[in-house]
Amino acid sequence: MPNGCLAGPNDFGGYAFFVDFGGIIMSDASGANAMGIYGVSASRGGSVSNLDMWKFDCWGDGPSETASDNTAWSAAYGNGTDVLFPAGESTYNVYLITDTLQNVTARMDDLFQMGAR
Amino acid sequence: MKFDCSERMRRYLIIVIWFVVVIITIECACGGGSQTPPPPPKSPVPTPTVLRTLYRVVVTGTDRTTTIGPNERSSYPMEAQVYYVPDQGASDRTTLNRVVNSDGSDHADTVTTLSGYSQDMELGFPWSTNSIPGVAQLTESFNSTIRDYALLAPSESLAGYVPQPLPAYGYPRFGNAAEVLLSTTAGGVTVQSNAVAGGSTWRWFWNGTQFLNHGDYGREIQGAFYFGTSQLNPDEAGDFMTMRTLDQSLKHGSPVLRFENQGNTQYTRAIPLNWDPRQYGGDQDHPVIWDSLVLGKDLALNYQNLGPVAQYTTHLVLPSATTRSRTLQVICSPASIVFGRTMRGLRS
Repeated sequence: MPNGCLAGPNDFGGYAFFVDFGGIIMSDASGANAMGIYGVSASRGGSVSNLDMWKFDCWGDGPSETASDNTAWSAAYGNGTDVLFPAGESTYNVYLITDTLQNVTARMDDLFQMGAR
Repeated sequence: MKFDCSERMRRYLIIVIWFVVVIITIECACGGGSQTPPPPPKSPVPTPTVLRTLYRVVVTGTDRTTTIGPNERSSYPMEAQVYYVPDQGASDRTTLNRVVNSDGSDHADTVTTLSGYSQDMELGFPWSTNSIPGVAQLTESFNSTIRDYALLAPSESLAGYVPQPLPAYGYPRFGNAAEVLLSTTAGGVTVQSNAVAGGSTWRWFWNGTQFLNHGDYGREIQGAFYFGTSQLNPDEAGDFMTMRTLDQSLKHGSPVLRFENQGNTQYTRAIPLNWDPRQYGGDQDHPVIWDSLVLGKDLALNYQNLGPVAQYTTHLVLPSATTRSRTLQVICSPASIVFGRTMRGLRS
């Protein structure tokens, strides 16, 4: 994935995609520590119109929890005109998983098999 | 100047929206049989409210004094951010004044008059009742030993000061606390949410590793909403004037409506601030609040007994239906998921 800090002035290096069922997994190089986000598309009864991710390895100030360097994800619902957000309360689901890379993948499979929305 | 990732993300979303529209157009063209729906009606956008931050500074060593704006907070030692109150008067609001005693040794706050004190400055326009969700009664306190009045946030207590609540209401803040945490653990995961930052998810621990970044209030795990453009952007945690190098008393977190655990589920709700207060005339001393909206989450750990799997449900409350909008959940992780190691690859 491109580094957003090295991209041009109108290119932030992000990556957006669509899936019916699926998500994103970020992992360290060993695969021992990973975090995943799983969602289901709105057309399949879920809450996700698209998934986005970015890598901002810009300042080299390390991996602390308040560092400027970071990676980011978003799960977005709606693209500006395609869905109705009702008056009152509405809800939108995703699933977050932390484990080894192998196990995060397995839990995403579990969620799919369970029909999680 | 360091660049805020969240600002970049929001600018990037404009590109994402364009991309989505193109894809949908192509799919419709290939489908052949579908009819083009009529354009959605324009949806009303509620009007946000410009607020003032009330600060407490210390003048001449013992005179705890409420102030607004940049001049006095820059001139005297800053002690706390105490409340947000409206910047403008209205029929459901009162006027909060700062008054000063005859020798100038003490300042106090009142919505009426105070014997022995005279008008010094207008501080803001708090609500007259608690009918606005999320507000709390302003607590003026008095220390009879040193004869000092001080405005305290509900979460504060100062030795020797006795509360004397005012008939006025504002959004409570947290002094100079950077964190007021609510923690819950299940399935091998511990999460901490922070009331100072709208109750957003602040830390996420698994197997000894903390996964989340909170370098400013555009990170964390939180919800955001867009009324058609990136400028109309209520954010769960707060606004962008929250970089880590800023004095905590100057940062703008969204006020919290709900902040509690029930079983393995954590519930938080916020009244969101606009990401960029400047879009509505705000600035570092004037956050802008979408007081008819609510953003928050139900975070259910150990979902379906799957261990480190959590169901994250974003809750959105809108005053009226809208189509020209989108909502999203933002998650910012540290550059390296494991502290102390260098990220050599990113898999997706």
